[in-house]
Formats: sequence, structure tokens, C-alpha cells
Amino acid sequence: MSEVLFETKGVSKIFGLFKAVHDVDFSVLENDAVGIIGPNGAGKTTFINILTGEYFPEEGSVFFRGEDITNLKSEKRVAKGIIRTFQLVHVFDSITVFDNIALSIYRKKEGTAFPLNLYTTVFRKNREITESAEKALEVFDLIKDRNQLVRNLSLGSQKRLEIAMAWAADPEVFILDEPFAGISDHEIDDIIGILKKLVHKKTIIIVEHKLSKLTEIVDTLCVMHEGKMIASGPCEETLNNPIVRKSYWKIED
Amino acid sequence: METWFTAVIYGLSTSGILFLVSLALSIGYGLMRIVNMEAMLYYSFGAYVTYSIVSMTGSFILGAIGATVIGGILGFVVETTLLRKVYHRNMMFTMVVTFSVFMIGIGVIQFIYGLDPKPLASPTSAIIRFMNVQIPLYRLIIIGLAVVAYILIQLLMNKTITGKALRAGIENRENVEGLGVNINRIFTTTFVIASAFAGLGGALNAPLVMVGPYMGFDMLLTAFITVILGGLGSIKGTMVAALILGQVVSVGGTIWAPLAFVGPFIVMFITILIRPTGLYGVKGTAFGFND
Amino acid sequence: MKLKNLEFLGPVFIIAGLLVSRYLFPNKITFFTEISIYTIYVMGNNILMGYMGYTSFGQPFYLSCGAYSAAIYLAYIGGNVFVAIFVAFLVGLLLSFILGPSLMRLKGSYFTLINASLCAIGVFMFERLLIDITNGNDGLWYRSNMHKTPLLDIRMPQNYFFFILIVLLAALYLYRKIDRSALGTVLKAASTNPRKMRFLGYNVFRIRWMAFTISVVFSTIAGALYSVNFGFVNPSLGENSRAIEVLLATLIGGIGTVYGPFFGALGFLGMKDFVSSFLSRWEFVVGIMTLIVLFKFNRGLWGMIQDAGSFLADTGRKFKNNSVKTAEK
Ligand SMILES: Nc1ncnc2c1ncn2[C@@H]1O[C@H](COP(=O)(O)OP(=O)(O)OP(=O)(O)O)[C@@H](O)[C@H]1O
Ligand SMILES: [Mg+2]
Repeated sequence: MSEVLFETKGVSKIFGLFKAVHDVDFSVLENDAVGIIGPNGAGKTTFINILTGEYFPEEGSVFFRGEDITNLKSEKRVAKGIIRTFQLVHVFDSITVFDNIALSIYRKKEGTAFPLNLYTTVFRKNREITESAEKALEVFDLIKDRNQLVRNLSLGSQKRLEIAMAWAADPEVFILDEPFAGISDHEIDDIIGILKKLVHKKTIIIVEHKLSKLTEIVDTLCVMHEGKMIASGPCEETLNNPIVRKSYWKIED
Repeated sequence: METWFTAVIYGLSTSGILFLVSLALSIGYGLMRIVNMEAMLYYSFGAYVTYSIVSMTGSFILGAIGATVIGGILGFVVETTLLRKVYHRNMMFTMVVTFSVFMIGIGVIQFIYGLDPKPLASPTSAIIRFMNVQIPLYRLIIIGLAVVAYILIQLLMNKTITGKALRAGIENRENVEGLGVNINRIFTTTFVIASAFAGLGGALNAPLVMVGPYMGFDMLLTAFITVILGGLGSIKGTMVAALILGQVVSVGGTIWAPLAFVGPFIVMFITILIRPTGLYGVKGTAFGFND
Repeated sequence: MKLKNLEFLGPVFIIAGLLVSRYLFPNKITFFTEISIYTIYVMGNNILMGYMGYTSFGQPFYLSCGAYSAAIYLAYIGGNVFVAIFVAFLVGLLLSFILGPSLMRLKGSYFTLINASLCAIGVFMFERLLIDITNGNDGLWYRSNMHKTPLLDIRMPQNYFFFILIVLLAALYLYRKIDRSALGTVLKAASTNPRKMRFLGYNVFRIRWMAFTISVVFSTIAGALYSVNFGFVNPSLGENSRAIEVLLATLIGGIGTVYGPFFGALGFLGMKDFVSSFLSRWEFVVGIMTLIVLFKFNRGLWGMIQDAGSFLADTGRKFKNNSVKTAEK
């Protein structure tokens, strides 16, 4: 029996008068793969933002390995091994693919004390960094784009790059917000192939609308609706849950 | 006692000018999300045109009217030829662009009028006695005109369709555009009015300061502090901020002379620390703290 | 390929170019000294503008703080020129320690305006508040207080030129390293997407503060070099209206590049020299130039040189390929 890695207890996030996330209890076991589904505006991204420290919840607490991290800043959570990607792809346009990945590796390598070493490190000249970066480039099939500026890449490649950046940092938990949105089925299968290798080795939390693709990876499924977590459990069971069928099924294709 | 009373009245007249001059900045940001540094040109040109007309005709009233017209015309030309091109660009870009236009305008003033400051006599030297205090009538005229301008613009905002669309536009641009309102045209109209006020502000301030090529610079920062304090995009905020700053300059300067200069900056730093959106600010992404 | 391998000699080429020019135009020596100093000033601004995406309308403030700290040292405390420059360095550090924490937390447009305010406050301070020390608008003169320096007496303009070249060489190599190192990449990344930087685990604020410090120190040192050069300072060095000059110079050179600042200083001062010989309305020209560069020429001089270089390389390669093909036939 593996331990609980990530946990929230009764978290809520309020925007003005609107509760985007409402009293959510959630937990992930170590090395588990969890999918979060729910209609548009259900509060999935907001919930991810609470997990990763973009927002601090008005109510409730967030725990990581039993430690209360409710008010920990996002960059400190990354240092604990929590890494995320964004629904709208977030990569650095004006630098090369290699540099993007190197940035991620460098932070991992230097931990939190790095600002003084910034000046003395040259990514291209650092063997440790180039080796790890080459590996990431290879796994994510980005070798040929190595020295391209990211803004010249297709959306599919940019999405792959963003996941590659997360992968390169070798985190404890991956939190992916709609990794399959806006890219072709072929590209989705490539990413699924990579993610499958991580399942049961790392903890993975994925928010996704493409249910059929999602169930290829995850064992546990959580459903959000109007800010509430209305169900969670093994995939089959959750999908057959009457509440879920009523509130969710009518929307998903 | 008398000194303080005089200081308050002088402060009110400063507030009047500040209000007139700052409006263009406030509306430029409120509606178009641009920081238009060139707004101070309307002010300087207003002052210079007043100087010219007064030298030619001897009539300050004509001068002030001319300044208002020139301010409006300049505002129209700059908005339609240049600002339109940069609305969608990032904030830094527009700031440098409008700052360049400001510099060009200063250059043009130097071409026409030379570098030497031009003195302009006050149109009336009448003094009003009130209890034991002597107050120049001209100061009271400024206050009166600023109040009229404020009432006019409030009427425009609250009673006309244009004004209503404008207010809705400041709140949420997309919504208004969704209703099929041509926000550009509305903005041009409002901007021209605001520029005309800046021109008038220049005319009114001309007898109080030296009319020089760099007068816009001296005003630029104070005007910015006014809109930052008031909250960008809020006309009421601009008015309240102008009132506060006028007193800071005038009463503050009476207490300790350097405060007349440094006071507004202190106010700005405090505002930014305590309330980055200003007193009545619309929620904006351009000003405030990084996330 | 060959060009790439010679890249690390870039700073040497620049210094050599300046040296050659100095002998080709011996009466323009002060002009070349000024270009070198201005390059360092533009470098400071380029860190903010090119690498961090911050536009500051207050660079003259940092420049004049450096200039005045060196000047006050030379006028009242000691005569050692090197110590004077070191004092400006320390003042730069101090300024960025005091101002950095608040400035680096501000959004871009607040940053711009607050810097403009600093400029106004600076002029006020040097012109009026500290008038007993700075002599206000009359300026501060201290050339006669400066001691002779060993080896090279840098009180002589022709020797000062050599001293400045050495400083510039060091600055260029330092700068090249910033660009190539993780710091340069991190700054560029943080300027395009600070949010993503945080979620990669970087403390963006601390990194920006560090870069701001470097920028301020470059400016104050440039200021000190100015005051030693002239033996005189007055408040007009820090005037608000001059803020745009350094922005323009940065843009002319090409923002966010290592050699841009040099070409920017060269282009800008060259133009100023040329224009002011027949025109005294300087603001007008600066404004027009800035607009042209912003809208039509945004890669700057160094960008143009790079484009020309890669164009030549391309044609060279094509030519070679063609000749290989014809040979195969
Ligand atoms: N910063 C914010 N301020 C105000 N409201 C917000 C904010 N962020 C999100 N919301 C609101 O909270 C609700 C939940 O948004 P969220 O982005 O979490 O939904 P989601 O489940 O991720 O939807 P999608 O599938 O479209 O990505 C939405 O109604 C949204 O408008
Ligand atoms: Mg979402």
C-alpha cells in the first residue's frame, strides 16, 4: 500500500461572489495516475492552480507528503517536485528549444540557491545539462528542432516541448492541464506513449476532455462539476456512477 | 491663518489645471489601455498659442479659445494617425512611441518659438478681498472654469449615449463592441474633448508659469501622479486626485518649500505601496504589481 | 562556420577598430572616448530593455548618481581616480539594493514612470537640495584635485582614451558572458513568460533584482567615467528629457544583443555629432529617429550586420554548392 502523496481538504476558491472551486476533498496515492474530467468552467484549471500555488484557497488546506503547503509559493512547490503544464501552452518563444529544456534541468540541478551560479554556467558548455537535455529531446522527438526558436514550432511540437520540460525536471508529480487539446490524434498517441512509460513510476494528474484517450493512461478518475468534486474512483466505476451520468455524460461525446 | 487660506485657494487653482491636463492621460488608459505620454503636447501648445494670440490681439479670452481648439485638433491628428496604429502593441512600445512624439513636439515648439521662455501677463490683476485675505481674481477664474469642465464632462458621460457607451467601454471593451458600437469613434470623440481641455489647461497655466519648450515635461510627471493616484480611467478619481495634489503642492510648499516639488512624488510612492490601482481605479493589468 | 569560431574575438575587433580610428582621426579622440563610455551606459540600459523587457525613463538618474558620487569624492575627499570610480560602483550597488526590491515588483508601466520620477527627483536633489555640495547649476569642478596615476597618467585625454579602452574591453567580455550564460537565457525567458518561469521553480523576482543591479552598476560606472573625463559635472546630465537618448541608442544598436550597445552608441553619437553641426533642435531629430527605428528598423544596426553576414554566408554556401554540382557533372 503506497502512501498518500497529494491531498486537499475542503479547499475553496472564490472569485468575487462566485465559488469556482467548492469544498473539494481530493487525494492521490504515490505513483498513481489520476484523471480529472468535467465540463467547461467546472473549475478544473482553478483546482490545478490551487494545487500548484498559483492561487491560495480561501478555505481548506493542501498537503504534500503530509506537509501543509497551502500557502507555499509556486516556485517552492516546484522545488518539492510538483511540476505542471498549462492549458494554453506556456513555453519561451524567444529562445531555442534546447534552452527551454535546459532551463528546466538547470533549476533541478541547482535547487534553490542558484542565482549566484547563473553567471558562471553556460548551458551549451555544461555536460550534465546537455546530456539530460539530449535525452529529453530524443524521448520527445524534438532532436531536429533542437536549435530552432520556439516561436517557429507547430502547436503540437510546442505542447510536446512543454511536457518535455516537465519531464526533464524529473519531478515527483506531473500535473498536466489538457495536454491533448488542439493537437492531432497522431500527436496525442505519441504523448500517450511517453506518458505510459511513466505510469506507476511517477504520480500523474491529468485534466482532459478527451475521455477515451485519458482512460488509456489513468486508473483513477475524478469528476468535477460546478466547482465540486462529485465523484472519484476507478475509471469504470466512476463513469457508471449515476450522479456522473446525469451531470456529465450529457456533455461528453 | 491668512497664509493658509491663500495656500488652499492657490492649491485649488493648481488642482483645476491638473484636472484639465490629466484627463487625456486618464481616458487614454481607461479606454484604450495606452499610456500616452504625448498628451502634454496639447498642454504646451495650448500655452504657446495663447501667448501668440495674446501678443497679436491682446485678448486672453481669444487666446484661451484658440488654445482649446488647437488642443482638440492636435489630439484628433495624433489619435487618428498614430495612436490607432499602436493600440494593439505592448505597453512598453506605445510608451516609447508616444514619448518620441512628445519629443518631436518639443522640437517643433523650439523651431517656432525658440528656446527662450516667454512671459505672459496675467489677464486680470484684480484682487478679491475676503475677510483679511487677498486673492487674485484669476485664480478664482481658473477654479471656476475647471468646475465647469468637470460638470460638462460628467454630463457628457452620464446623459449622452456616447458617454454611456464610453463608461461601459471602460468597464469592458469586448461587451460594448459586441453590441455593435464603434468604440474607436467614441474614443476619438472623447479623446478630442480631453485634448481640448488639456489645451485650455495650458492657456490657463501660461500666465502662472514661464511658457517654455519644456513646460510639458514639468507637467508630465505631476499629471501622471494625478492619474495614478486617482486611478486610471476614472474621471471622478482624476478630479479627487487633482484636489489632493493641489493641496499637497500648495499647502505642503508653504510648510516646507521643497515639498512643493517632492510632495507629489511622495504621494505617488505611497499610493503605489498601499493601493496600486489608485483611489477609483478600474481593474487594469498594466499598472500595479507583478503576479 | 569560420565566422562563428572568430566570434569570441568580437570585443577585440571593436577595441581594435576604435584604436585604428583614433589614429585615422587624431582630433576626434574625445569623440571616441565618449563612444566608449556611452557604450557602457547603453549596455546597462540594454539589460533592462533588451533582456528583461523593462523600459526605463530614468537611466539618466543612475548615470548622474554615478557621476556625482565620483565627482563629490574627487572634489572633497580624495584625488585617486580609481577610488572615485570604485565609489560610483558602490553607490550603484547601494542604489539597487534600496530601489530594486520595490522596482522589480512593479508592472512594466509603473516601472517606467517611477524611473522617470526618480530622474526628476535626482535633478532636484543635485540642483537644489544639495546645492551646498554640488554648486547647483554652476556644476562641480575638480580636475585640479585629481592625482597623477601610476604608469599611465589618465588625466591626459590621450591616455584616458587607452584607459577607457581597457575598461570597455573588460565590460564587453563581461557582457558577452552574461549573454551566453544561464543568466542571459533566464532573463530572456522571464521577460517573455514570467509565470512559466515561476512554475519551472525560478524565483523571478530575485533574478530580476540581480540583473537590475548589474544594469545600475553599469550606468553608475559610466557616469563616473564621464565625470573623470570632463573633470566637471552639472545636473543637466540627469535630465528627464535625456532619458530617451539612451533608449534610442539601445534601439539603434539592436536590443538584447551583446554588440548592439556599441553600435548603438556609435550610431547615436555619430548622428548627434553630424546633426548638431547644422541643426540645434536636437529633441526633434531624436524623436523622429526613435519612431523610424521602432517601426522600420527594429533589429538595429547590429541586427543588420548579422543579416548581412548570414546573407553573405548563404550566398557563399550556394556558390560553393553550385560549383560542387557543376564539378560533379
Ligand atoms: N481569475 C479568475 N477570475 C474570475 N473568475 C475566474 C478566474 N479564473 C477562473 N474563473 C472562473 O472560474 C470558473 C472555472 O474556471 P476553470 O478555468 O477552472 O474551468 P475549467 O474546468 O478549467 O474549464 P475548461 O474546461 O474550459 O478549461 C469559470 O467560470 C471561470 O470563468
Ligand atoms: Mg481549464
